[in-house]
Amino acid sequence: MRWGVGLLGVLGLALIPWLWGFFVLPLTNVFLWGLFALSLNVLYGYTGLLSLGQGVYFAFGAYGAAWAVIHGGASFGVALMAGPILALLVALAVGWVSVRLSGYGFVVVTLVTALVCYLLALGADSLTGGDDGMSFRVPAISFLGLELQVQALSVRYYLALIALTMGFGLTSLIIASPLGLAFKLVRENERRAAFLGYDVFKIKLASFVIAGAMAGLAGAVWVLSKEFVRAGLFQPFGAFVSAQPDPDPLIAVLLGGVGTLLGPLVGTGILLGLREIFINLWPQGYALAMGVVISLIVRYAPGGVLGSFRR
Amino acid sequence: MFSTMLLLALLNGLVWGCIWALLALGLSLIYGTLGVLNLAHGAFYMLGALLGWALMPLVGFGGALLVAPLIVGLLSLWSGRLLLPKPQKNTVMALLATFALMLILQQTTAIFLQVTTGELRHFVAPPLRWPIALGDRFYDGYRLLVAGIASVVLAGLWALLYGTRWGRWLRAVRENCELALSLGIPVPWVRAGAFGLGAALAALAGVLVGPIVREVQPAMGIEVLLVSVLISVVGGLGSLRGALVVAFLYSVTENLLTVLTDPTLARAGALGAIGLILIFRPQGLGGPR
Repeated sequence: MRWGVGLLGVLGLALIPWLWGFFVLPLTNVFLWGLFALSLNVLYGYTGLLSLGQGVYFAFGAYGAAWAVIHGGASFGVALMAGPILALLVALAVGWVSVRLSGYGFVVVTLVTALVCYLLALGADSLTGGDDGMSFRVPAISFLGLELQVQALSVRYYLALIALTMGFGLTSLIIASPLGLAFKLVRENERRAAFLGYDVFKIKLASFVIAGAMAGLAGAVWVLSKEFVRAGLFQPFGAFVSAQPDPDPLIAVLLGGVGTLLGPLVGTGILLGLREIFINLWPQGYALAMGVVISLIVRYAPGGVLGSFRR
Repeated sequence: MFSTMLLLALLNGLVWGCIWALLALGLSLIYGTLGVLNLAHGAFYMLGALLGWALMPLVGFGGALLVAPLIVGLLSLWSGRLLLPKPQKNTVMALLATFALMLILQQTTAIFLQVTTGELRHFVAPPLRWPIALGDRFYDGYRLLVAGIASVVLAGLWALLYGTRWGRWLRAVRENCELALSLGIPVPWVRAGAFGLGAALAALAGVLVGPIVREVQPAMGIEVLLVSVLISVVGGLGSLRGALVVAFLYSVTENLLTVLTDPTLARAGALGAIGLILIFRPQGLGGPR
């Protein structure tokens, strides 16, 4: 029943480019950044691990895809796979160290990982393009004998839709599975989980790696439709200091509802709407509004729009 | 030649060690008493630096050194009361509230600067020109003054914590909040005092750093925040001695690395090296057990 509704929703969304061309660009953004927010929701919403540096895995996904094209001359499909794989490997290495830390230790290590990666990316500017970034040409997609150019808006739309569907399907499957129950158990009571014989370290690491790979997929899709990548993607809190701020996954998750399946997408949609309004009327006000939004959520609506995150 | 560079790096390491110690001790003080990691700490530092820039022409360096931390301390009390939820109720929510406070302070400052001066970046003139000859190079004597002032403040902090009644109260609240309350210690006042004092220490670091880094701007607090939270976590959150030791350890490592490589990579390397301590001691150097 629920899967039927989901399938119907995806089919409906797949028809949008033929029906309302106006929605193609905003929806592409919602899918892409929604997938990124979804990855943080697995980690924070379901496992209770707050990461303030999830952008690192998005950035590694983007660079993995970009490097595969630039240095490896990879085809589109291979580049799209290379991003999440690189992000997954980095998440495995970082998670191996960081998920052992409890409470604020974990939060701080996620933040400092972002800073270290950013500084390294700035230092190795011949490899990363540094602050100025680098652009490259993405090869055409050959699909069922067709040559699709990624520059076309509708191709980007379907690409983002497919990636989001994969991410969303994966999240739904995991959350319904015993692993998902273990995630929630760790979120609710870590000590009890250990007492029941669960390996808390492995559960947390699984959550961290899955979230990293999903963020990497979002990054790869992003970079392959932008054909541009820059070291600033790694920057901690980078979303709040740039002139063209990207929707922050943490705020999207909080706004939509922590630990709800659709929450991150709803939150991303609201954030993108807010960004549109602020960029046109008062660009400096966006980051200020984000601060006000977070403090209002924390104070009055810890569950967000859809939320019923019971502690 | 190389030995002079090494000596300069070591001196810089000690001077910056004092600055990081002021910042990390403030963070640890706030964490120990309120149970929240204060992500707005970098914003308090940034406000201190900008207030230093604005006040120095008016009241002089000494005046700025006193007035800026006072203003930031009071502002932190007011904004903390307004924004932060009840302490220790929900640590993640409290953390996010300080994150929101950081964004609000930083962006309000940016908007204010843009409206009043039309410019986000400002340059601080050094209050003291005192080049000290070291071999074939010169060392900025102002940095030695910074180290001196910071050491006096750190010593004063220790005297405050271990020699006064308020310090005894504060240590009691850190040990056991409920017991302290039942003994008649005014816990809300102690907490507010610790928050204000921590913020004032960050602002003092900001005033001192302004003339060293020359350029002050609203986003300057972010990187400083990340480095100082790492220092206080590796030092063992809440442990003042741990924070002090790791501040110098980090700073000397970073500055010695600048002899070998460029500053960006030196910082990345020092952060990585300090962070790796957490593999062997997840609770930090000064943490329990």
